[in-house]
Amino acid sequence: MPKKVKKENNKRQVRDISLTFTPHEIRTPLTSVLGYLWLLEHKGGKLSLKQEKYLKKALKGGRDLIDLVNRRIKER
Amino acid sequence: MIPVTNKRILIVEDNPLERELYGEVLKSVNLNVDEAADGEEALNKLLWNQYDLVLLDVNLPKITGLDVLREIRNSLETKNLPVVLISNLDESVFLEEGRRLGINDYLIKADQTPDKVISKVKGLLGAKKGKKGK
Repeated sequence: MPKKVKKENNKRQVRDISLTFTPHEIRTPLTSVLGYLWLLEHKGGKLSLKQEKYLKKALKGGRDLIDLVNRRIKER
Repeated sequence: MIPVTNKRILIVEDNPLERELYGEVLKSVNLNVDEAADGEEALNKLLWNQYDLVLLDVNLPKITGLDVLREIRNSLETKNLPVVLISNLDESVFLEEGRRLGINDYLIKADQTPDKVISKVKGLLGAKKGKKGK
């Protein structure tokens, strides 16, 4: 498949996903993911430095995604 | 704050991912947790066990959360049992009905954090001042 067509297809896919899911629908499972990360951070016992680093990055990514979704909700 | 450890909470939620999350979060502050995956199981457990608080999802298979709430409020033994209704953002109509039926508090799934869940549950258990719901 030519690169340009592939790129267009990808764009269309992203558009389709954003039309299929509302921000609210995304936020509920995302709060579950953050909830389990909270459990790992607070109740998961002693983590290695590497595990702690990855956990912090996962939490940051999750919170950034929640902020993004919240912004989208406000725009609607 | 009044100590609320060892109180017994019934979590009624059909989504296993969310049910387990609420359970683990509440266990992490030394609360005892029991679980039900639908309204029928919840009513059965309420009939045979004593709980200090119920976390109740509004959207349940078999018997809805609001019907479970009605049964709780209609029973002499559980009419004062604290109930926290769990709903989605787009279920404000159910929330209104829940308020009319006498929920003690509510959680919006998309807005909840473990700290919020703990704070609400502990707040209600503390407010009971040791009274038994059943």
